[in-house]
Amino acid sequence: MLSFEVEELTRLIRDHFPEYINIIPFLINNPQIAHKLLLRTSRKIPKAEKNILNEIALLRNELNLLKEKVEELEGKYKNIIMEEIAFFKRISKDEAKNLIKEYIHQHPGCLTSEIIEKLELDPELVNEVLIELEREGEIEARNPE
Amino acid sequence: MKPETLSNIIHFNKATVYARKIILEKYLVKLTSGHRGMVAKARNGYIVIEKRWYPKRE
Repeated sequence: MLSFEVEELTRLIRDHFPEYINIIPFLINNPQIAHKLLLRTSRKIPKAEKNILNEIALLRNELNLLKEKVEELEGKYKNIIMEEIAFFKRISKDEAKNLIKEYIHQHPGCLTSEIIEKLELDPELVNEVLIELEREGEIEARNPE
Repeated sequence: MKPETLSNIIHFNKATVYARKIILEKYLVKLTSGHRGMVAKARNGYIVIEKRWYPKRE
């Protein structure tokens, strides 16, 4: 999409549909949709002259659809930000045992999930090691509040 | 670290889910003692029943 097309579309929205100003950045980032919208608008100018109110209603509908699309995309974007990716190290059980024991001695009262996340270990391995350490009498568990 | 179990019901204070995919449903469901909560479906992962860990005193 050419820059003058963007300008034209921006001007159209600012002049006729000020309530949709928020949509401009979306149109700039999605040139295909913006291009189609502009083509449609310019193609329908003679028609719009005959029945301008109908045309405005149509464009409003179209902009509403675009607004919904923007909100949907914003929602998706938020989900992406909220997504946390965890990578677990692959180490032997003995190594894990030493690491976990040391971590509990340094951070008494830590939660199971804290051990998993801070040491980046596999939850299954951590659970296994914790049960073993408890059986050996090295550590003790209490219910969280 | 066995939780209190009654048939297939597990009671715990706190838990964390690690999964490849967690789908959070928007509708509310009735929980025990009249509370309401949301449903989440997890695929391919673990549910970690939380405990606080302390070094054993001698």
